[in-house]
Amino acid sequence: MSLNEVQTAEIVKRQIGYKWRAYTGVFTSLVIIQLLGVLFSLNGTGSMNSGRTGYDISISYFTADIVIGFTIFWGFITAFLLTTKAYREDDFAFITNRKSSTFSTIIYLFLLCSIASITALLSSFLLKVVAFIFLPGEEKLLLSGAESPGVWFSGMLATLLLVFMFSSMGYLAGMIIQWNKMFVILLPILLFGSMFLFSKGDYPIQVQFFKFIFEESSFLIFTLKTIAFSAIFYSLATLISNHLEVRQ
Amino acid sequence: MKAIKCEALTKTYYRKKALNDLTFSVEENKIVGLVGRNGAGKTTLMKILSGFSKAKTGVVEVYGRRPFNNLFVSANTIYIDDQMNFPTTLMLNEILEEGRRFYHNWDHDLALRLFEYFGFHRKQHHNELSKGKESTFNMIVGLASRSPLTIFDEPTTGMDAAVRKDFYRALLKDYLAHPRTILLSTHHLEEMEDVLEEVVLLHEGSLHLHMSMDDLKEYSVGLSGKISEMEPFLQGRDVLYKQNRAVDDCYAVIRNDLTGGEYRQMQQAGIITSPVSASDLCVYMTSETSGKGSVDDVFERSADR
Repeated sequence: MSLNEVQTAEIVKRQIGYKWRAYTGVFTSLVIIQLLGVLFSLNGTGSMNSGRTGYDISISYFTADIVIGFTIFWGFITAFLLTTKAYREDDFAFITNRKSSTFSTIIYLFLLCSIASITALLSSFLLKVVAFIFLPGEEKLLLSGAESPGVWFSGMLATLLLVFMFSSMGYLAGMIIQWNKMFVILLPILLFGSMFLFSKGDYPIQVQFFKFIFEESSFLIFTLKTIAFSAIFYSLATLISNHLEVRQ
Repeated sequence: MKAIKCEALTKTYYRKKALNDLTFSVEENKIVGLVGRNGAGKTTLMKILSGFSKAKTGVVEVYGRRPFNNLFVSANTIYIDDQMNFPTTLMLNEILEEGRRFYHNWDHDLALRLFEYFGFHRKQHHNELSKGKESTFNMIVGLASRSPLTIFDEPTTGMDAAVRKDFYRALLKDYLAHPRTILLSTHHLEEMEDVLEEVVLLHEGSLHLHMSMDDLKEYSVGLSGKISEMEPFLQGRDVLYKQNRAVDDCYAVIRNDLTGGEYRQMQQAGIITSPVSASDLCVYMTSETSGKGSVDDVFERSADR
């Protein structure tokens, strides 16, 4: 029987296709979590009330913010789950090594995050339609979305980058736990413990982190920051996965 | 080039040595049976060979490369056992399709014909199969992949006798048409005597014996007769196994290096010689020698108390 030389790129491509066909469950959870997000958003994500004699003004904002928040959470959990033993063993049912397995999962996650961010942003339209049809009273709905396709597109890209960054965190956390089960307990302790300590020392690290990411006004720098974080987290996860044994 | 080469291979699990200084090699295009008692290290060895786990010390090479985390070895090896994990969302025919996409030598036609023959339905899921059916399906994947090194770990788990027989025939036919290296661990050595070319016997993580099936069948001879008559013959010989059957009757297995003259002497002394099957021999050679005796002793002792 002739021996076959294979290229990593070829196997990564095959693995992505395989994951795309096999892990259909992630789409179910995406739909459910985004619908849930829409449901929670129906109350309005922000509101303003003012009134004088004779009239009342109540303004509710319907935006996809909650849906995006939920999608970020979904990205974290999905990436986390993909590191579990059952999923990793699925990879090893066919040809792979750790490198191709991890690379294909990262690219697959990127595809997932792209879809999730598009649907998350589109859900704002669904939200407005639902609000218009079902909400009681004599509301006047002022439709105002993004001003131009360019703005809408950059919103989508920003969502994608955020979801992808949080998925990289989930992936790293999952890998650390797969590496040593002790981290199921240690990881939250270290994370929240350090947050607590830093807050005591008047340097709340989580606040700084969120400021660093979410309050960035330049889109270019925001892109660079999120990509840098994702790259760091995914490289660490790849390093760890190189030492994991499968099916022992 | 050797298909498999191991040198001084050691693997420990929680300080217990699963493999202990194991050295052996397998030529290309042979069907090799890996036998040994439970816990002898068969599965550990196979998982190291397929690159799933890593040896602690020693050298292991599959087609000249180290298997752990190696794409080349993964592409040319398939490891089949009863814990194969396929995505639960895929239907059986989709799993076969995936196999076709991955393995260059995959024979989809063969896969589908075996699939039909063993009565699978395309829309079934792998986790819904019964134990025997699951093993049968995994076996189909293993055969159809036509991997240059095909590793079967207890492939017949749960299969009924008829399916086992079909499996041996399918294995042999496909091997003859497309020779490749097949490493197979089994507890049904007696059923596979005609299929296997070589036998590797592991005992407590070390190599106990590695020889061709034909040599193994000739390796030893069984003697039975009166203890008093047997004793002089057993003196100074390599006694592999001895069991007292009746009050003064015993059965012994010794290395088959008897001369014609000795055979005649034995016949005159009323000792009956008989061939020993490869399967029995492997059990005798790896029986516990720590003085625990047979399982009978467990019950006799407890009855006394």
